Amino acid sequence: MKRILIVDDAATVRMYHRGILESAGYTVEEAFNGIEALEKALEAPAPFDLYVVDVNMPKLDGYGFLRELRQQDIAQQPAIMVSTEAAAGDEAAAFAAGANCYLVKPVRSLQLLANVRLMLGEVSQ
Amino acid sequence: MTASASSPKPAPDITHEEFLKFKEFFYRKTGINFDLSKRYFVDKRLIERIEATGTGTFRSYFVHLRLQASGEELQQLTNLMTVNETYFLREEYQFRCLVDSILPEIVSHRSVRPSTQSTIRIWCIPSSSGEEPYSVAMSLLERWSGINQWDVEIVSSDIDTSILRRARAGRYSARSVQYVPAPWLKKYFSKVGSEYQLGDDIRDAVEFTQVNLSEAAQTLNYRNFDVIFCRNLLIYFDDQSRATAAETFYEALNPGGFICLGHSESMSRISPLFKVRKFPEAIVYQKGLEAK
Amino acid sequence: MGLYPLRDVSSVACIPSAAKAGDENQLLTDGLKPVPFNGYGFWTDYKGKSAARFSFCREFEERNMGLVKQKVIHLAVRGAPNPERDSNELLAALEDADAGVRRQAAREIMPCMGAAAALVSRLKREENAAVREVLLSALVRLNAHLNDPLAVSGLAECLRSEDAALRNEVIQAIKGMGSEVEPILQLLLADPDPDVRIFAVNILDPGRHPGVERWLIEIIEREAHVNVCSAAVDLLCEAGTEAAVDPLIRLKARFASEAYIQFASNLALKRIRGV
Repeated sequence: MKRILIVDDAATVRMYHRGILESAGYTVEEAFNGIEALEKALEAPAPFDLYVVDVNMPKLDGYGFLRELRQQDIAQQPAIMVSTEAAAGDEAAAFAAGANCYLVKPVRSLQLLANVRLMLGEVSQ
Repeated sequence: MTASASSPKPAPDITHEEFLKFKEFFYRKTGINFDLSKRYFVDKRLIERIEATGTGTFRSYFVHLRLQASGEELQQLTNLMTVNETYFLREEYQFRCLVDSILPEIVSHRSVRPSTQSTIRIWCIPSSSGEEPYSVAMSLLERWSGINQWDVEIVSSDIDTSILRRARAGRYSARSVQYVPAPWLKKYFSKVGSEYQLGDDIRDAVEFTQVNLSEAAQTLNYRNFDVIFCRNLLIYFDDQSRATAAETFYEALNPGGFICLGHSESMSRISPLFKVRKFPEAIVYQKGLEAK
Repeated sequence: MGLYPLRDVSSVACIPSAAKAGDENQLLTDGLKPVPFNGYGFWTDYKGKSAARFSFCREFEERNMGLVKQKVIHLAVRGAPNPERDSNELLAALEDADAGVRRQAAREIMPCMGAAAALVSRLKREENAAVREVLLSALVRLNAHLNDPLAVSGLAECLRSEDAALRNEVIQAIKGMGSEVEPILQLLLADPDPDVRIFAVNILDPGRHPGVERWLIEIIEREAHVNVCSAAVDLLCEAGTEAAVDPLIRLKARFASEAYIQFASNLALKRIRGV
């Protein structure tokens, strides 16, 4: 069962994404910000298969988390960045930081699932 | 219970939704996550505080908890929700981390970039009654081969002078030393009645000082440390005091220096100044090597 | 033998931190006089000089099985500080080439004229993350003592910065301030840029600003942009009361096809009702 780490400081958003992903059969863990996400990623006995990462979070934001994550000596996995900003410059910044996919809120469940499957290399049903 | 004229008030009830609301708030503030299996544990303590504050219902209590400017109630509650007992070798994996991972890395930097400072300096704050700094001292002597090549200085601080006196005295209960390996107990302690007295050798190895961590002026001189232990203190601080403490620790550490927090604490709720490092024994935090 | 704890010694000396054992001879020739203290060493009496940044450390080494016990006499030095001059020095030090000096200045800076403006000015140009962190917490600390509208408005400008990390840090900093930020927040909540309005909602802290619910309700009644409404609903899950119930129901109707709004509003309603 694939494990996904949801990183967002808003409890409601984490819950919403968890609902979508769990219904599709994924196992979900949560982190409040980039620092907690790093800790969870490093502590995990097996690496997460995918990260769903918000941009604006206290202490360490989405860009900061991805930059740190990509420097760690652990198996690197895809990351979907989720943001409110639709400007082109922000998407470039996301990819530069190490995201593999950039979605703009509000994220519809089918959109999230399709991108998750794509990132995980699962054939779309 | 004796009968009284009026019937006793029933204990306030906490609904499932209220528990979830509280759980999210507490997780956001402290990083501690209570899953549903902890309902009994959490409810009991919430009810205790609802009664102590006279707020009557969870709803009123929660408003009080969130809006109180001083944050004292949150601190009280956090105190209740966390285990606070101090004893020798508490959270032992961190002492193992110190000896097996942290110190070897510090020493390797010294060899590559010899520093003006040849002594390795460790700061334990709060000292509380001394179990932690003395645990560091014993761990170094008993389990770190490097102790024969490197000098180590241990400084330990607390805001409370009476607890510092107790720490210097080095007298402990059986409960406090229950996890000390028998050979260490024999070597470093002598039994006095039902208690254990730490010998002069170890007691003299720790420098105890009084410090209020929230007062930046008091900590200006705390510099050039290689390792800081600050366990189970910052979780009780408000946001601004946590930030001040983190800045103090950043200044206090040498580049590449490490800081260890309590097992239920995380820099995620404190400060972005430090890098997260994972060692086999523990997650610790490090000041950048290139930092000043 | 024994240890003496760090004490607030008000009449004590300032000697450069590079002083070593033996330096006291040189200091004596500079006209300082020794004052004995508990037989462990001495420090010199040198009143009047701004002493905040000096310390004297006299070390006695005692080797003991590899654990070195250093009797370190730390002196929390307080001379007779001259606040104005100190402040000017500190403000200048904020622009020092050395990051350590800048950080130290920000840590020490006290409420005074121009402090907030200088901190904000430095913040906008500061590339070193650790220094930025300290600048921001200095602003929060200062703001508690000195209600300087420049501090808050200067910070608010940073919300429009290209630098996402700075924006985020500023949100957290403003969030840490008290009710004095309310006028600025009012402005930000009415900003033409929806992202700025979202930042403004992110700054709102129901724990710090008791009137927040009123604003949140106003937002969900009037705001056109779905993400600003989402941010407001998130906060109502924790801070909402009965007053928010009808507005939430109306919000659901307004954004009937937005799955997240439905989800978040339903959650907020459940949390408010407690069931």
